[in-house]
Amino acid sequence: MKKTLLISAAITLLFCSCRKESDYVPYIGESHKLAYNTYEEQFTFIWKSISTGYAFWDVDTTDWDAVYNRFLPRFQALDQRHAKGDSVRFDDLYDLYYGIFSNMTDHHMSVVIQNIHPYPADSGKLVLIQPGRREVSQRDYFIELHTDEKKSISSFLDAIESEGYTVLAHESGTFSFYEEAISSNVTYHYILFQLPDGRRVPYLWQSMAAFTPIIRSLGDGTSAGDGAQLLDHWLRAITDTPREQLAGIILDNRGNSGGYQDDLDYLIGSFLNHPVEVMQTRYKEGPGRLEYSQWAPYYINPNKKYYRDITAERIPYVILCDINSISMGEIEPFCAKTALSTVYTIGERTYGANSPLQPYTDINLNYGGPFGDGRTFAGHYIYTSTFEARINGQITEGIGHTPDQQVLRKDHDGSFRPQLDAAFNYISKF
Amino acid sequence: MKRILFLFLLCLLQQTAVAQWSLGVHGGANSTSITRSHADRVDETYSSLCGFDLGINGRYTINPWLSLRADLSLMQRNHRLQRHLNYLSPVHTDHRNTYLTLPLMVDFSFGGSKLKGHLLLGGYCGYWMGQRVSGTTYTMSDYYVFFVDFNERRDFTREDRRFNAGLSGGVALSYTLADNIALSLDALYYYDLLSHHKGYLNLQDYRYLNTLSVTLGISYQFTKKEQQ
Repeated sequence: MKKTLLISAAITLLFCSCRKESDYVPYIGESHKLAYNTYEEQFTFIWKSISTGYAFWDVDTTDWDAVYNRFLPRFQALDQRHAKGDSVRFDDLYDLYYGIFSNMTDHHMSVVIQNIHPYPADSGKLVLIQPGRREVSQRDYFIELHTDEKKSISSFLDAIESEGYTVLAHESGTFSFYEEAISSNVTYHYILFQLPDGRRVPYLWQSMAAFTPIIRSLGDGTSAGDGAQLLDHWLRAITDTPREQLAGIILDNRGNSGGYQDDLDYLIGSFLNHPVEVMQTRYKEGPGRLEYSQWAPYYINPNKKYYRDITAERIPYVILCDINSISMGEIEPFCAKTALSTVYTIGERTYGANSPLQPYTDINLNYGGPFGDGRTFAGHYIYTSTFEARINGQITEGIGHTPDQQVLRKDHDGSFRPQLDAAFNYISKF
Repeated sequence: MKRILFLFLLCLLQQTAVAQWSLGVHGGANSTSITRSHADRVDETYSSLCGFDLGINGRYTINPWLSLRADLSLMQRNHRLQRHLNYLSPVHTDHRNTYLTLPLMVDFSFGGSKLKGHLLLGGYCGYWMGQRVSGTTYTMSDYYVFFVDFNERRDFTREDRRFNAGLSGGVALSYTLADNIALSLDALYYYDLLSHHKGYLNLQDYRYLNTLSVTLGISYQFTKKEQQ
């Protein structure tokens, strides 16, 4: 009996030692790893951080384990070269990280790598890989960002005034605002058009999605306060114009580089008559690649500060978007389509950066999001999505919003006008 | 495991006493904790949750102090992940896992003719049948955090290892009510040796479950057969 018990106890102890020790699994907030001695160490830390913290492993087809096996020896070779007294060329390092990141799905992603042992002529040069930018530039309708909207809008106004349209008001400007001690600029054009039939169309072009921080400054006498006045005029023109005089609304998000998610409260919430779920988000809950939280609905509520029930009044709301509408610049038309039945989108399939981010300083939120040194870019800085978003049941990261009516600038010599013409045609005939 | 089976076979061959079968049912509650790597975020803790344990068991008595016991149990093995970051403190996920578990244990018994004590040692294999999660998650905008309650089935992914195995053992008390009927109170511990997270080639992150299960059972003794 005793012998049997002893044998059983020994077997039990033997099995107890069979649990394996995990590898070192970093989470992306471990900024103490920013100083590296070797290229292998730098690569390994970034590889592990992306493995644990990348939000799109469910849709991204990159074989991340194969990346490790393929590239580790090449970084080790760089270390050997450095050990022999040679510096490492920028191009060599760029080619390696381009090979790793260039096909990834996250269209917000921006990878900044510091060359830790640079060739003297390359000193201070940072590797920059933007997989979204690379993919977008290969689309057959790709066209560079239209940079002179002021000139284009002016020539458009000149042209249409000869066609029976009237410009009742035109306010524009570039406005500065501060968020967490960082200064940013946003440009707006608010135009109140009058159609040949006498009805009105309030139009707004915005270079980025900064409605929320700007309109909060209404009346404070700052540059942002001036911008807020412009936005207030656009919203008042929508809410205060009698129905028979209001032909429709135009929000021009072409070239909109993104910004604040809370803008949805104004650009959609102002026209809602009940709360609407416009998208769902989830985040990396653990370090496993497919270890996600549950999907959480994101609701927009009616915003009574500026309010008009455009669905009940059947007022058309046209949103223009193009290949350079990025992030909130494209999430706005996406969500507006979901929330409001009179929304109609015109332009080009958008950029495809459809999932929200938080600043790298919010690294403790979950296992995803931007990480590294976003201030000095020491070691590395990886700008990547904090959440994965699903709109209308689909993950559209890397795909973007496809408008109801496709009008490509590329088919019109890059002209700014045909998409606007399409918007006025739609509203006139609505 | 092989050694335990070998010992058992030896005992079978040498037996001179009465061998008999019994079959029983048991049910009770358990508490499960998770053993994970130190990858935990600083504001994240894991804790135990209770679950149920229902099943049938069979016993083959080799001699008055030695028998072999096999169970087939439907067990919940539940645990909780809780965030503590100040503005995310409501966020938590209760993992409710259902396992079909098949422990096979050697039962050393001692005591009187009616009231007996038992020491059980062995191993188990199991299958992860389903998982359900409930709790509170969050979504956020630039200025606001929104908390959302959830309670839903979670699909398995390629990271989940559904086959499960480990060590089991514990103590039990049994009381014979009549010739063929016995009551038992079992306290069994299940110790995973297989991680339910598969991990990756260069990034293994093992997760093991530990379950203490307390059940009440009743068994019926079927046959009484003389053996050589």
